[in-house]
Amino acid sequence: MPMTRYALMDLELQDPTPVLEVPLGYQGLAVVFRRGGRVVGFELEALLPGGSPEIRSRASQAARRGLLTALQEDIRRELAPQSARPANPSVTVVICTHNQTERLARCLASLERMEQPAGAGRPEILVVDNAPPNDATECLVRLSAGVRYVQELRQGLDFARNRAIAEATGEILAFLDDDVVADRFWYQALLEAINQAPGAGAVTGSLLPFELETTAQVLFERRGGFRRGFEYRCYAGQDLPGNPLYPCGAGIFGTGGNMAFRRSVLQELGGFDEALDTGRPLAGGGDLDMFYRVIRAGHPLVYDPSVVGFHQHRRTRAQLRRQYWTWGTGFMAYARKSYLADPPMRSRWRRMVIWWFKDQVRSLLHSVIGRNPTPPGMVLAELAGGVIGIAGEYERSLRRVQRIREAVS
Amino acid sequence: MSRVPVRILHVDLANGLPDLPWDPTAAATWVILWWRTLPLARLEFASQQPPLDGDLWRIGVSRAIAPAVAGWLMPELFRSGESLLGIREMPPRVGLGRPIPTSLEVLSSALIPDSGGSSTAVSLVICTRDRPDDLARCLDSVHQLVPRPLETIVVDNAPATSATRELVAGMVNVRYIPEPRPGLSRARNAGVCAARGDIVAFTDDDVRVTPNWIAAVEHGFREPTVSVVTGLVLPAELETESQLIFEQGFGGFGQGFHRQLYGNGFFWHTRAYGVPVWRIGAGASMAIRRSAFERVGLFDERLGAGAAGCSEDSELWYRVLAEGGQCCYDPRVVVHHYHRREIRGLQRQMYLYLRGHAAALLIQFSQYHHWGNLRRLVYDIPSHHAKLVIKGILRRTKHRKYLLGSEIRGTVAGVFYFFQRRKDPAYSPTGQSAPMAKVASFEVDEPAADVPIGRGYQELWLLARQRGIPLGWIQMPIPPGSPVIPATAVRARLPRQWTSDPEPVGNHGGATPPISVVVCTRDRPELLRRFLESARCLRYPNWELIVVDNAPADNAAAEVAAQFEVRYVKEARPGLDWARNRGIHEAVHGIVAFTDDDVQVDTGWLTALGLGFADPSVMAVTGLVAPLELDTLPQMLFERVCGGMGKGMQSRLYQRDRLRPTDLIQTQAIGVGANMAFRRTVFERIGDFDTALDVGTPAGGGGDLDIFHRVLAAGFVLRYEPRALVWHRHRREMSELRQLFYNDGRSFAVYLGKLWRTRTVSRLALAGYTVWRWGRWLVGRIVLGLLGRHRLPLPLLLAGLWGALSGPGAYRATYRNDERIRGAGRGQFTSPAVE
Repeated sequence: MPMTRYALMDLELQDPTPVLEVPLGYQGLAVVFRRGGRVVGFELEALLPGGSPEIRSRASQAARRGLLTALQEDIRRELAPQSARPANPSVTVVICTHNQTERLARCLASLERMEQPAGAGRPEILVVDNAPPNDATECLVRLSAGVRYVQELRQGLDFARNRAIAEATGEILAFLDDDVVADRFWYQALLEAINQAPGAGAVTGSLLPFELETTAQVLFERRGGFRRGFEYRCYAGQDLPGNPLYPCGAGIFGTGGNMAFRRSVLQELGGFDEALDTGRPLAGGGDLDMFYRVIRAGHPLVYDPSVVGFHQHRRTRAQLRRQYWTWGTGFMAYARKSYLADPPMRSRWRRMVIWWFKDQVRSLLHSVIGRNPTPPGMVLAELAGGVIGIAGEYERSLRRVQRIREAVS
Repeated sequence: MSRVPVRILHVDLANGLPDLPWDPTAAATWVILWWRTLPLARLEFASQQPPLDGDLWRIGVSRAIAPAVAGWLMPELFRSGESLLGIREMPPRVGLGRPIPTSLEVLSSALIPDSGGSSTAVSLVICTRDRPDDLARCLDSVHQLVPRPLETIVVDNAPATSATRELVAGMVNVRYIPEPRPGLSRARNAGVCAARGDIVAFTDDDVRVTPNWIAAVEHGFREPTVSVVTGLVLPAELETESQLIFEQGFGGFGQGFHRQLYGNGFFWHTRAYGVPVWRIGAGASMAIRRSAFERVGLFDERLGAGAAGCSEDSELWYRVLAEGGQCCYDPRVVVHHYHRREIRGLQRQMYLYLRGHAAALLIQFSQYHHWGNLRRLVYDIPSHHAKLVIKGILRRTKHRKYLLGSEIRGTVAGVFYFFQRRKDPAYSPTGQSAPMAKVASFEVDEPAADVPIGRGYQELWLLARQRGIPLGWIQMPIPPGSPVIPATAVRARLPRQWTSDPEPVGNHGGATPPISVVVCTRDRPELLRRFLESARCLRYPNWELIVVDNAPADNAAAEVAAQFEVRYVKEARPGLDWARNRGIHEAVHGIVAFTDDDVQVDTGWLTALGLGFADPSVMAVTGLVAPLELDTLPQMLFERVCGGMGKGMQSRLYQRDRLRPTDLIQTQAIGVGANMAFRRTVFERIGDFDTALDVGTPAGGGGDLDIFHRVLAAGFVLRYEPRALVWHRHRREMSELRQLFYNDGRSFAVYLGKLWRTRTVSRLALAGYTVWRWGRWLVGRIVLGLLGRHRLPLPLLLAGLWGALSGPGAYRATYRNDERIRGAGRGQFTSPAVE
């Protein structure tokens, strides 16, 4: 099977005559629209063989949408009360990593290149090395200036995250995955988002593709990837008109690869659930669970699309299938856990689970008839993961985690 | 689902964004966002939502207004389909280079510039019908317009009361125009014809206009290619479920916050699917260039409220677009509309909308043969309805449930409506009261005088007269637009024998016996006033006038009579013949002339009657009844196809021994009750009018036929004298004419029944006449009508037959009724003799 590659390019809208160049050898185009450097839009477009004249008009439409969101953002800022500039909170950037030295180096380098907003100090950078098999990560971090290194021996992402909560000094904890590269304006946008919504318990950002060089990566991105749109959104309260499953469908809030919390909120909620996100066999759901609990505790959650990171997707189809499986198990384990822990929401949870399975079956059908680019095998993997997840995986995980705790202590 | 009341909040962002005030009494809040006079967006908030904190509120506002702001500030980026991006060989034509405006203050460039004073181009037309309260509110907002319109015209459409006239009478700067024929299109057309401005702006009576409305309309016409400007219609209130359903479920009238230009591209792009012209706007806020009316014609009078239902506005836009014009939707042209409050009203409205829409599609198709209209009618609308039916069953969407039935019925009714009216004229070329023919009289002997023509007449009917003696009708077409017909043109058409020397006036000249004129009226004070005005001009030495008011509902007629200082008598017993009998008893002179309130008498009427009675053997005289006006189609049909009321220009004498029994029966060929006179002595011999007959009784007519018959049957001489001329205002409306046909059939049947009983003609002749002549005539014309070979519309013919069939029942009813009145008579119906 030939490899599908999409060219990824930046397009500056303030450029007087932006020119769209389609390089040879690519089957598609992914355009990141920027305005004054800040990301305002993204467009993914397959190219027909022999070049596609449509691409310019489609991209123009996307550019218009980008301009519109930019304008909307300007208006929102203008309408905000002109209060005194709030003091920038102290931020700790947490990178939890496990045996991924190269990626971690790339991620740290992107933080190095970060634009510094005026009047804000550099963020504290904290690398939590989770159950390291060797000292490669430690060596790397020791070489980078201004980066703290902490080891967490108990294997599990949420062990690492909770360790970060204990170790960090900043008011705000911004979590980045090690396979994410932060945008130049990531820190600036994050500070602005926090300053604009001082009451928010969490701020999430968007993740765009870092590269689209393999079929698996293109497939993943075409399914929607980690994108959540380019509109600033603020979630507050326990209901969202038009969404009866809110806040159970926590996927709308953001992704764990690029999220930030107020440390006090995390402490109040008792940190991440260590039974989720343990790596195999239950490698997900911790971020969703945290978003859900933040909302349920009454803290507003802000999704700000200008807080952008670039995520390196799984390169092979097997890895991708594995990821979908993870999503299925993770989501259902999170559902199981919340169903048990949050009785007032149970009816919503029942509907949520029914909807999820219905939706999976629908996408499976669409996949079979070719309306869904994701291959049926991958949809099936997610569906099967969901079945496993709901069938006692959370309880099993709880027992496993208990064993880990005992073993390490 | 629908929650009411909804609070409507107007927020001007130029004053900064206030906090959203929290009102738990309202079920929801709709926020309409403005930048001064520029509407930007609408936001909805349900009250069960917790009060928005500042951030959410700002997000909502910024998201809502961003599209409109972009449309106003960067129209070249957002309105054009141009590519914003180039490729290496071909850089983009529209540059993105300029910075995105960073302040809303820049929106001020999109505001309509202020211009005080008064507009020189825009005439404002408001059509109304019996809603004085609404109209008062509307006019109140009109008075606050800056600039003012050139003129404000209130068209009062078929009013039932004089409330509108009285309301407008007190206002300066507002012209009042009555349009008696019901129908919004007719009213609008009347407004167009009366307006002087180059731009005619329309609004409705249930609307409040914003102060810069006229300025915005004028601004919309700055581009010379624009023929039509429509605007944003916002809900003025959402207090009832019906109003909310209308606004939510059907999008109300609002067409968004973007300026749109609809032209050739739009038309040809969508033509194959039926051009969605209704998207252009709403009739409650529109303005049209006068030149566009000249190019594409007026509103189609088969459409619109009062006719098919609606779509008269969009059908006109369709013609404008089809002829290459442009329509502009400009949201800065804002009005606030008060939707119907009751759900029943809404159901009716939906029915009418769909009926109008279906009829409009067929009219558009028949006019231009654009198949998209048919496609929409036979495919898109039915499948849309089918989907809604299925959805309604599955999901139980409530507001649709009670309206969907109305919509489907409306669509079907629209098709039928079109096929019934497809031959009707779309509009009369002038608009106001659609005159068909101008009626005038022309004195042959007098030196040439040109005949003035009002606007828009197609034909001229001239009654040629020689020293008052009617000679005959001259009919001639009127060249379009000519204000007068020169006398020479008329003369050229006169037959030679008319212009020769007059025949010597008979040797009875100078006889002027005293005459009592009895005019019977019932609840038509306006007509009575006109009659009395005409009676003032009668030239006769010795006469009296008695107004007999028959079972009046109020004393309006008495007031009119008092103004003219004539004798006024009230007859409480209902029935025209009761009134006539009362007139006989009140009359002091030896000759009693009867007429109706819907005529105007000629100045020589009494002179001619007097001459008619110069022969002492003549006991009764009846005269010529000419049409007063031929403005409407029913009047024209009645006069031209049915022969009207005139019985020719030849004087005739009728006497029993010279008449066949058939002639004795069909006395309708002899004369009409609107113009007849008798010697009083004849009543002593044959009795008074038959009170069981004529208008006001179940018989519905026939009193005049009966009295002519009895006069002749008793052997007296009756004279037809065409010089005794009155002008009769025929029925203006088709419905009135249909009623007349019905009554004629019915009363003639009753009259025949009476002849059967009294045996004044042989029963054999009567039966033969009834079956062979009358019956065959009635049925035969219906057959012709069904074949499409009769010039009268089928409903009229059927009404005649139906009336005849109801005759036997009416016969029994009317005589029983008459007995009851006579029995109760003295006690119940006595009234003071003279007031």
